[in-house]
Amino acid sequence: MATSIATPTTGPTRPAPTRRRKSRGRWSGLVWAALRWAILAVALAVVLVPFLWLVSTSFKHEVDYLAYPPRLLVDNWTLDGYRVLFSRNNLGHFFMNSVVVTLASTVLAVGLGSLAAYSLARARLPFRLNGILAFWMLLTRMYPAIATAIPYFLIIRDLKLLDTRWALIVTYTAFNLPFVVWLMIGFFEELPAELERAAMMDGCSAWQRFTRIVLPLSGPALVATAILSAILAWNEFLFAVMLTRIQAKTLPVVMAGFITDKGMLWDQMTALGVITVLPVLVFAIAVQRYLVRGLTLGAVKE
Amino acid sequence: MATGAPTIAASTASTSTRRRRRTLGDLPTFLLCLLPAVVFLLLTSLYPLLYTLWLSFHDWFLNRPGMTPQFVGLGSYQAVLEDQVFRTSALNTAVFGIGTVAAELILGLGLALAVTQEGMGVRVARSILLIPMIMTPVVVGVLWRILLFDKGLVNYLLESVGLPRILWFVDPRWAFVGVMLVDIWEWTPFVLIVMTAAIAALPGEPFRAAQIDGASRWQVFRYLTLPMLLPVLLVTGLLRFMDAIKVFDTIYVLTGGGPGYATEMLSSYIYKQGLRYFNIGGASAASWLFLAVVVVLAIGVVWARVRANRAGAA
Repeated sequence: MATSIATPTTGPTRPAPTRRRKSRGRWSGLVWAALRWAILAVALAVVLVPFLWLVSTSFKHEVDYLAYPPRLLVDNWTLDGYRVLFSRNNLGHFFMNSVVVTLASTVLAVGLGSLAAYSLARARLPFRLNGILAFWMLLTRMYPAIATAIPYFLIIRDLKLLDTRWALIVTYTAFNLPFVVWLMIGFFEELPAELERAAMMDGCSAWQRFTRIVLPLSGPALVATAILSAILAWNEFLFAVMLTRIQAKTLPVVMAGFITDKGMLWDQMTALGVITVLPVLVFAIAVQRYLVRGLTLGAVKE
Repeated sequence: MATGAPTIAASTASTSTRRRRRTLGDLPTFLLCLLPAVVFLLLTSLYPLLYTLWLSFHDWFLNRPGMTPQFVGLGSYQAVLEDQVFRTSALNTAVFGIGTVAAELILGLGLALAVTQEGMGVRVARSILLIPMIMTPVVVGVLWRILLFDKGLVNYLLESVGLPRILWFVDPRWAFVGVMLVDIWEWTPFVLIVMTAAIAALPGEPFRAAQIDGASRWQVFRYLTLPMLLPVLLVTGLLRFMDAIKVFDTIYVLTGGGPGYATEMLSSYIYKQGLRYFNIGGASAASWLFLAVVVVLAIGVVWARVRANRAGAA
């Protein structure tokens, strides 16, 4: 993006309301610059200190994490939190639950969703279906999940799927589908239609154009969309706590269970927190470029 | 990318204008591609919603053996509306939504305006600021439970500047403030990134003109920046509000709705009615009352987006 003042016609530039102004003198400029950096530093501290607190608590002995005054860094570090967490809680199984549910629902949502998005982006459907479907997807994305909680519980119960991975896979696919469609419509519309028009002249069917031209071109977008919906599935809690009991629990449910069952085992709780959050952070870094757009539901294009 | 500038994608508006183009052939293929997703969504989102609507007109307690749904008309709605706990949680949800979103908009916009520098360091800093938003909400709740513990970090910081300790989970008012603080910590980054993009998309000319005319910083903000950002601010606020009033995970972990009903929200109320007391009719009626509000807001969002898009295009 063009941000240089020297080329004002090439594109939008950042507003420069506080850029150096000679009439005001250098001092005021310096004070403002210092203030900006101070604000940034405070913001970083407010975000980072709690996060580091999570990490450091997971490596502390009980004496240290319950000590007052509390301290971020201590002399004696330990891996006991992680060791006990893994040995007592069958954690591997729950971790796999999270992984399987996340992967399966993401693959389903991205598969079904990108097909639908391509149609919505390229076809002119009868009965103003484009607009209607797009609006419906938006509503599906926005309504409170809790409004469908009761029937979900009843339906899953009647299907004898309570406490199975399938229950969560279906649910998360349903939630992520509209999200995928929304993001992918945006991406597909950015692809030049000329390419496909040319291919159509050459006798390519819509399906061939989709698989041979559109999909290869939108690889990065597909990956980003997949990772974003995977993060949503990984973090989900409401339906996980509602539809699982013992066997199919995911990591957030195990985490919440700690609060009610074992109030003060902070080392294990935070260790589990670190394990839960770590994959999300890694993936988020991988799709940083698309993160903003995904998280704002296409409210911002970058 | 396509537009060169971040725009509010008023998706319904922009897609419909773009779609004036001819369809690229093969309507049947396109419909076939659309079919699986539509069928899946009909089954998993429309059907449950209608099922909830049907249930909301019936009286049904799952924990009474042999009881079948009995039609009671608007009885469940009446019962819910008369329930003091429902009223409390509806009020809590409204206050929570308005309070957190207002704080997030002010902090997020302020931060975005303060940090307009570019460069490697700032970019890394901005990424770090996104951490709260992508962290698993349940983990956020657990983390803040530790931080707000009566001998935790927050109280220590309060004491070290000479303020009294706060019993965050005992005092109803402070519990409410506490859950709001956590939401603000979690979601201010959202406002920050949207606003950063919106600021970057502002045209430079008016600001240079103002500079030449010798406008003060405050004047530039009041008469240029703020009015130009207002449409985006409105959409962001509405989107955030719709998300904020759904709050469930952090409440569940932090306070469980307590002490008493001090932090009970609509989501936790419906959850408890339906899945703890098995009052299916009541929970469904409350769901539809909640849903009605959200649908009205959603229409507001779409409308605001279209307007913001027009303003952006002009």
